[in-house]
Amino acid sequence: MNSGKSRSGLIGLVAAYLIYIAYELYQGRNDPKTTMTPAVRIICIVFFGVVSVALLVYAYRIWKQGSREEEKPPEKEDESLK
Amino acid sequence: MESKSVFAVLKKNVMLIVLVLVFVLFVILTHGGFFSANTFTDLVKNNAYVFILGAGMLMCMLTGGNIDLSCGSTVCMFGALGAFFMSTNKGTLENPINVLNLGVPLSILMMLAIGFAYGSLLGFLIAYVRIPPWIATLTFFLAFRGLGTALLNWANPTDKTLAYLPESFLQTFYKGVLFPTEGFNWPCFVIGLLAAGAVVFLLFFSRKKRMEKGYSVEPMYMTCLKGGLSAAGIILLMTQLAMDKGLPAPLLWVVGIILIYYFITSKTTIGRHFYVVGSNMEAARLSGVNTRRIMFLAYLNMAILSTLATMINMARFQTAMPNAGLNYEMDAIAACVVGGVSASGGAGTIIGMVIGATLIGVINLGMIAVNLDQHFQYIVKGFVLLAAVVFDILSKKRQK
Amino acid sequence: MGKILLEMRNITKTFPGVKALDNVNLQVEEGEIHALVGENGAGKSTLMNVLSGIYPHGTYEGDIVYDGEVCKFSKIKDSEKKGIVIIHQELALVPEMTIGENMFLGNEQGHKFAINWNKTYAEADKYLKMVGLTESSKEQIKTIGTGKQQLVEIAKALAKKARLLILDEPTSSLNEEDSRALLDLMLSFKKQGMTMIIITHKLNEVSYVADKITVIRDGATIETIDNHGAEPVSEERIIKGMVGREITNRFPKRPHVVPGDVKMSVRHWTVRHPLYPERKVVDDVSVYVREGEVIGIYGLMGAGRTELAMSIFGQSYGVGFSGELELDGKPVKIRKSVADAIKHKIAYVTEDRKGNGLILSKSITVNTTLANLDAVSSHTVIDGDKEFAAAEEYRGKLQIKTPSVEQLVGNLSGGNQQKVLLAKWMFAEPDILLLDEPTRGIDVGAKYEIYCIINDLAAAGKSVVMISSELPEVLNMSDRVYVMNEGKIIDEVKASEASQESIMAAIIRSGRGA
Repeated sequence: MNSGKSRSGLIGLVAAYLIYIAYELYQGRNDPKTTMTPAVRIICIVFFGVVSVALLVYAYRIWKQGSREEEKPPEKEDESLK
Repeated sequence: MESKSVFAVLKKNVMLIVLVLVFVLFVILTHGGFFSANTFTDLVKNNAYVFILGAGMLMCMLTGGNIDLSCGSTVCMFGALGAFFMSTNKGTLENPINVLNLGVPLSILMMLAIGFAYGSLLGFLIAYVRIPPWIATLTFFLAFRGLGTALLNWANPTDKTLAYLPESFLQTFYKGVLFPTEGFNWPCFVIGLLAAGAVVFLLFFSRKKRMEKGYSVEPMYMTCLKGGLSAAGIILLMTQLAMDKGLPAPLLWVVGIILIYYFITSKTTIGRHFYVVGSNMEAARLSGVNTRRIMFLAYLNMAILSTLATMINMARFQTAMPNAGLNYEMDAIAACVVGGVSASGGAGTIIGMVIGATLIGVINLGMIAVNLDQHFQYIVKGFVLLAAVVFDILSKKRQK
Repeated sequence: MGKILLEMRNITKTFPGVKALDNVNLQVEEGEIHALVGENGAGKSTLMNVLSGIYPHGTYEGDIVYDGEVCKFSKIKDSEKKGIVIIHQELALVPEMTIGENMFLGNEQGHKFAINWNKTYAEADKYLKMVGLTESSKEQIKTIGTGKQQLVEIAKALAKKARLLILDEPTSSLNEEDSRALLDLMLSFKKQGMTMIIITHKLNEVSYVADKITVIRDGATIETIDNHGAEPVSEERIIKGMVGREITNRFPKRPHVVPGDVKMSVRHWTVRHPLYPERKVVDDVSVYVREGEVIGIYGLMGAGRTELAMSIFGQSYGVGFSGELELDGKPVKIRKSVADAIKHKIAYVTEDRKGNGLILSKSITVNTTLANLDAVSSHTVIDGDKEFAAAEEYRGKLQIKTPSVEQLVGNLSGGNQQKVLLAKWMFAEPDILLLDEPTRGIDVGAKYEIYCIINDLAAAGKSVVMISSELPEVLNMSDRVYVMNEGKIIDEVKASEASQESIMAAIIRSGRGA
């Protein structure tokens, strides 16, 4: 099986995008045209922040798992000669 | 060729239903305003780039969850180059503009050539030099944005954009309409009816054939549902388009691309190779599949499709701008992910991508139509992506 | 009758569509070695997964009674806390880490955030001694052989204070010598009061170490045989229980085929390790195989057999090749391309069917036609019907047990998976088949079927090269046997003139630097 490393990359990418969204929300906190109350805004920023960190951790774990699987010798015979 | 796990099949059909529901939701929220010619035209013409880039991204992701982060910047860079080639405005004496005014056919040819060269370079770096796709495409993501902007600055120091693209170009890629008429565009409507009929016929005919030969088939109600929804969708779309001006050029391009890639992914040996490489590269290699060539082709293909998307984009805005293509790669990736393309490779269909792209397009347009606060729009976008990722994670867990 | 340490009562486990375990009963006495035997898919591993907590309480019916009390494990750690430790077939060691780090992975010594390394390595060395290893626990895993890695796994289990040790196919990747050492280790543990359950296909091992043998077939306990008698239980007796029928011969009769001309020959073939090019993994090897002939290549782990085969197969392994390859008497240069080798009618069936042989997430159909898609397509367009027909054809030919060829290969049992792998390569219509451990990890019944397939291939005039670590298999299935050790061919004999002893002697001789 292919290692899941590329999958971790995509999840990491989504996590990064969520952080970007949290950032944009933060940047718009003083926007006079917004209908979003500050409370909701903070909740959302925190939510996306936490979720993206969780996703990043998950992605990291999958990446490590993928690396470990790649490290395992592909053929059981491929070991040092006696 | 679809992955046959129940989850994947479910997922594909679920998305279709979700799409319909979300659409209906917005129609209700806007008291019917959403159900207008404008919406459909917008969905087709302004969302075309998502379908085209999505097709390319699908092929890349199939090979193992690989993506192309550069396609948005490519749209900017190639847009700048294309405008440089074909813009007709040399500016004024005080504010001269550097353009070549080469004429449309030559410009298109040159753009394609450059796209081919870029794709070959990218494919070579990724497949043969073994640079991780991340890094390679990220590099161009940054480089092309900078280069494109620089080119525009140099060509037109005052506006930093390039406009005055030839009308023929604009017509071919955005403004043009097939069989234009005054008033209600009957050709468009008729084509819609024919297309809907063809789709329904094919759905039921292929099911019948499969049953006769003894293959497994989906339950009849599912086929009816799919047939009904597709037919309704097509006729709806074509009617609305007919009320606007007719069959727009981008739709032709998009439908063409979808048909081509549908054929490639489900019926050809090369398509099969893509799926196999993404599922288990080593097993594919030892079965005689040229895995490096497949990776190369994935990125070459992406570059060519990016070129096409660039042309449509240029024709839409009628200008080449430094911020062209911003976020396009995320849109393409999101369309794939939401459309059920597996993040680890080896599974995903073009229809899935189309549904994903359409869903995202509908959500985007819907939010604007209900005048949703821009900040809430961000949140919705975030949730959609989050949901797709969580779905992917859960389905992987189920598989185990 | 000693004290019963473990009793699994009326265990029933269902997966969607299939009942994996049906009222299975197992009783293990303290201090005994209990063997669990059965064909692939019989339910042995499932039963052990229930016991160890991989399938948590609530996902099965029945009771686990350990040391007199009913246990409800929700995860592996729960069973480990009670001293039930399971060692799986696949080694779970990280090659880059040291032995000590591996041994206490998940069982760290010291505080949560500060691992006490001195304690770790001291403890590790202690357990290593118990399993008879002289290596220091500070060495990296990847420097020691598979046989010793397996012992590290056992040491790891001991460090978890195991009272009931479950070994799932512990010798599947070991050669004869290391297997014997492991079995002897088990016997010495038994003397110290350890209770063990061993799951294995190798019936000679069962006879050697087991006190009691429980046979499982189709998810149900068939019988429990006592091995305490004067004579160890015969393999035939066990097979009868496993398969439900008498198998008088483990190996089908070899057809009388007169070998034809030399089909393939390699001379002075040398291949170097891709990462360490100074090392010759295959050293000046010369072998040949004729039409209709089956040659066996026997050797210990690391002998270079797989590397030999893969290097012939489109240079899919190794660097720095030298030597000559002749097909049909004519010198041939195969480029670094598997497709090229296939064009030359060579097929290589890998030893790792799940890893790099099959695509588990795809259907039998897709897997069957993968190496020869052109045969079912015209101008790169795949003909779905032709493909389906091809898959069906091979399903029948090889007796692949599946409700449909649309079934995903990952859902098949090991034996059937191996058949799909063979089907794929037979569909490519090769003249030369390089089979790498074609019956590894599959049950007796399926093995027999695969032997029949090999015989049919030879009878049809194909040239078969069979790499195997099972001496009886090599001796019974081949016409000629090559013995390989440390990259060199050290012996070539007619199978009819060879014996297990003579071959082992040859290896020992060469190991002594002869």
